Amino acid sequence: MTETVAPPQPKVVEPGQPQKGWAGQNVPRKEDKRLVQGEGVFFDDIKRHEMGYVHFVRSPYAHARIKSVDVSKALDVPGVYGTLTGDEVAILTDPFFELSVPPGAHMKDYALAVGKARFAGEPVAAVVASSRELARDASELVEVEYEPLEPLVDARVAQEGDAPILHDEAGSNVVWDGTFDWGDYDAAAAEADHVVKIKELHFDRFSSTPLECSGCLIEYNKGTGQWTMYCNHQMPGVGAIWMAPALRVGLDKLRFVTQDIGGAFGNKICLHPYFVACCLLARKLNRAVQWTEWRTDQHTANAHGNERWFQDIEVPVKADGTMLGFKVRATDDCGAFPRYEPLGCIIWAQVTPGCYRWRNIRVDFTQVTTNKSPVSPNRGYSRMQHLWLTERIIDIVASELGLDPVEVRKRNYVKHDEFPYETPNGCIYDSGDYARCLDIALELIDYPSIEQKRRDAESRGRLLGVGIGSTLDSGTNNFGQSMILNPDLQFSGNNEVATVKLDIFGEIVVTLGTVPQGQGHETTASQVVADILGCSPDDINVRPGHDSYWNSHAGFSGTYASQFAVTGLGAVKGAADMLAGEMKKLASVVLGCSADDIELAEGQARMKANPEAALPFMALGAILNANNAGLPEDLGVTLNCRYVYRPPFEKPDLERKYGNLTLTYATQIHAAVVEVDPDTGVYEIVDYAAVDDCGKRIHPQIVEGQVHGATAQALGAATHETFPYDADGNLLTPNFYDYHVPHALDMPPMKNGFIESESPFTPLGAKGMGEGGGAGIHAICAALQDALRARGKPVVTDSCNPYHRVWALLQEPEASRAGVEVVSR
Amino acid sequence: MLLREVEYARPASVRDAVRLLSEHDGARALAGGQTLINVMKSRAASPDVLVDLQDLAELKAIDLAADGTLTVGSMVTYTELVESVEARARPILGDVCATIADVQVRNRGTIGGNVCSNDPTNHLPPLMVALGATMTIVGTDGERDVPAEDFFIGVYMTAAGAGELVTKIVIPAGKGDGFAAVTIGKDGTCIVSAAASLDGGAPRIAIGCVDAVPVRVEVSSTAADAVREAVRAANLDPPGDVHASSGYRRHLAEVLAARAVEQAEQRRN
Repeated sequence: MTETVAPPQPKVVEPGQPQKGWAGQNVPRKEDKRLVQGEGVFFDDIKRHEMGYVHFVRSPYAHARIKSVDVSKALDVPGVYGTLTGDEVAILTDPFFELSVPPGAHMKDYALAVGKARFAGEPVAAVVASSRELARDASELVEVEYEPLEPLVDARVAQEGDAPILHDEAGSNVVWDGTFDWGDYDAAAAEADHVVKIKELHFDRFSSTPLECSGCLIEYNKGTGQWTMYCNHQMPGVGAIWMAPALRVGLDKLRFVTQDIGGAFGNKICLHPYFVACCLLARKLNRAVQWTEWRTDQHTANAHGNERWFQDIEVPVKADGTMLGFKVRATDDCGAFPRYEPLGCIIWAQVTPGCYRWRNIRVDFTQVTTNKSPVSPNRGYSRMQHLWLTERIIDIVASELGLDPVEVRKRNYVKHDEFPYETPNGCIYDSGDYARCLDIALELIDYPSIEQKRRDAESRGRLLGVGIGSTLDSGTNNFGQSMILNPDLQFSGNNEVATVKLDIFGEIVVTLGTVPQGQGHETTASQVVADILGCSPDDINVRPGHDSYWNSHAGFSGTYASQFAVTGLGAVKGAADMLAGEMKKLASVVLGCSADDIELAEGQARMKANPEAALPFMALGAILNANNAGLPEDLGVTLNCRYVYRPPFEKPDLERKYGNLTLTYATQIHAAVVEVDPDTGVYEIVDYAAVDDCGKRIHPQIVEGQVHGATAQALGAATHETFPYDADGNLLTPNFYDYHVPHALDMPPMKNGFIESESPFTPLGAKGMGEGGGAGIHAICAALQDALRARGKPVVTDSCNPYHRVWALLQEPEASRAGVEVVSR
Repeated sequence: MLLREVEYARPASVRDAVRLLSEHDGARALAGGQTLINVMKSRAASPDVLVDLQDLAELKAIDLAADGTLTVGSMVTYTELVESVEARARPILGDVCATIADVQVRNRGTIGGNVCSNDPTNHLPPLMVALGATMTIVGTDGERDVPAEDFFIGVYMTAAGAGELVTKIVIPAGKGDGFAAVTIGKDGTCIVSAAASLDGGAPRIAIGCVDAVPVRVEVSSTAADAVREAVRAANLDPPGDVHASSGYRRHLAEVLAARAVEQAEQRRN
């Protein structure tokens, strides 16, 4: 199904085979044995004696006042252990803290609906029983009296005078709004030969769908007042910051434990309302409780990706196709509660000009609540939406002005000799070669043959189109960007931690601050350590998962936002370097030489000049840990090293909304070829190339796996995956019947290419790349627009284009064109 | 899967199965579970007694008569149909079954379950109507044969009533068949489907997903324009949903009917 072009795949290294330079090799993944043998441990595998199962009673209404909740009939059922209602939650907890300035700051968000339900599926009460089935049966006996209110489902009308208000305390549906103005847009518009105007584009609502839904087993230790949560929360540090104040306890009362997580993608960042409800139940009932989310719950009431409207777009263009920037009014729909928001109101600015040299950009950004599922950072978070805008701009402008989509990209791309490149808002693109990546992608789809293929398709009654998606995956956040939204937030920079130690029998043990969800952290960490300590990855034990009591972790620890290769491995490298130094020092004392005379190789510390004088790691571990009498008092060696990696960031300039928001920028240039059946609107992706550049690839196979996954995510979003609501606020695709995720058969034959532009800013030259930038969405939108060109030149204005939408474009191309206008000088 | 409490029975004979089904008002026959387990999971239906038919070997036979008549037991799975040598007598059967859902579902889902659940998006109801199949229904009062055209009554409703069981489906000989569908992704749920058969005179066309039951369309010619005109003349009023508006479905019905007829013609020749 996949093929890879030059440079060729590094060869697979057999286990135990000595190898110089483990980083860059496809060593077997340490995680896979237990996973493929069914021996992984996911939260739902963990059980406790006499535990209870939690089932949530959910609002059937998108917007309703809760007049009463009566749990008495449920409590009467034998085997029901207890219940929790919004009234109890309002007494026992404080609202979760909000990141926004007003009006968002005034929105009140609790573990269960208090007073009002604001989206269909919102938890209103919870029932705990001796089995899942019983908990669900009993939950149907909970009587909730609702007074339905008018729902708000269209973000575009959220600010109109007669729009229903979700959060009365805020007095507005606006969470956050602000203007971003860089360069001089008005001067650019005056200088331009053409201004292309686009009335409205819509980035649709969808989300990733991890195989494992959310959940936790929570037990309360009455003696210490501490909760232990065996769970799949992917960002425990931030989860604790939300949960602890709400529960009115210190952070140390919350212990998060994860081992294996069946995918997260951002869906598992905003689990705090569910976890707090379970904490209250565990304490109230003095019993371990488990909550396992079901698929429909996940679709309706966990977290969607941000939906965004782009309106009144204007793009100044010179006669030669040089674009000078753009301006836009963006309205982001975050659903019923802000939760991780309004961070999406700034995250997009990491990639403000996309891949382009655009210098004059003005964005009026507003985020509003609606009566839909809350959002959370879904893979490609906020940048994907914005990059879809930049790519739509490129292809709509090219189409309207008769420019070649390849040439216009190359003309406007940041050039390879301009890196590090500072964007108009102060972000530093570290390295890359977009034009070269594009050339490789075009070569993979045999671009010169496209016109011939187009004619072939025509002869078969099909419309062929080709499209490009150029995106960036900005990784390693500078959390200082949150202060641009709210100067009172005391967040900036970033950090991650790792420990590496040498034990008595010579075992090398690594713990991470991160929370892996399938990314292969155990494997890549072992490669980095093996290179530094001069041994095999097989000799390295990387503890799986995360335990906030026992794993050392830092303020921003976690696995999110494309950063492990930089922050996680940066910390691993730092700790391994420290340990290597200590091992050399200890060996030098034992062997009576200088530490500089010692090298670490083949599992030994030995004298460079005399390799026969060697101490195996086991000897070093044993001497220091168990046989240390007589060692110098000032030795300063613990063989247990902790390192915190802190990327080099400054605080942003809050007035100008200016500064470096992320450390690395991985490139994705994808090209898609589609064939449309004009009689039905059905289309097929007949060729696909994904070219990625994430700097140094520590484990190429893992990188390719991420590329495949991000591509499937994007193709799903481009073709079928959408979360539409009806006028009453009911989700119309609440399960896999109607929400179609690409299957193997839906995936096109995929061709992968890559280059490695090492980052000058990171410890290993690597860049985070796990999210991708949604390049597939942009490529499909562009390819469809190209295919339909001969049928009245319709404009693709939505990110998701199921067959019915393509059919509509074929039927009424003029309707889609009505919003596009070119004003020429 | 959080099912309501349900009794489970696994009869050893059709006679026992019919008895169990007729004894309990809330009894439902469980074939492969492709539909029923899912509606039970969502609690859209909650039978009191599940009568699991999987031990009924007598419902798993595929017989090909000398005249080409194919008799398929209701518990024959899609995979068994795809792999059956006898079923190649009517190749469209295996071809369509090979596109239903995925391998795991095809290993469990049955021809009887597909027609008896009569979800309007199911593949087989329109196909059975186009092929002129006949369903054999057994109840406490004995056995009767119902032509496919009369078998499908409404959404999730068929001529097989409470206490009754479809035991086999008889399909006449023929090879001039076609099937065309627009689905949600490859091998996904049908948005609109059309089946056509040219064996036995004028084209028999049946369209799925446009009404509660497959819609028969009468036409004398196999020309695409004539077929489309006939579909237009049927004045379909399909439901609109998240995958297709009513108008788009109506249009797809025309196109797919013409394509099914075209395929049928190619196969006949």
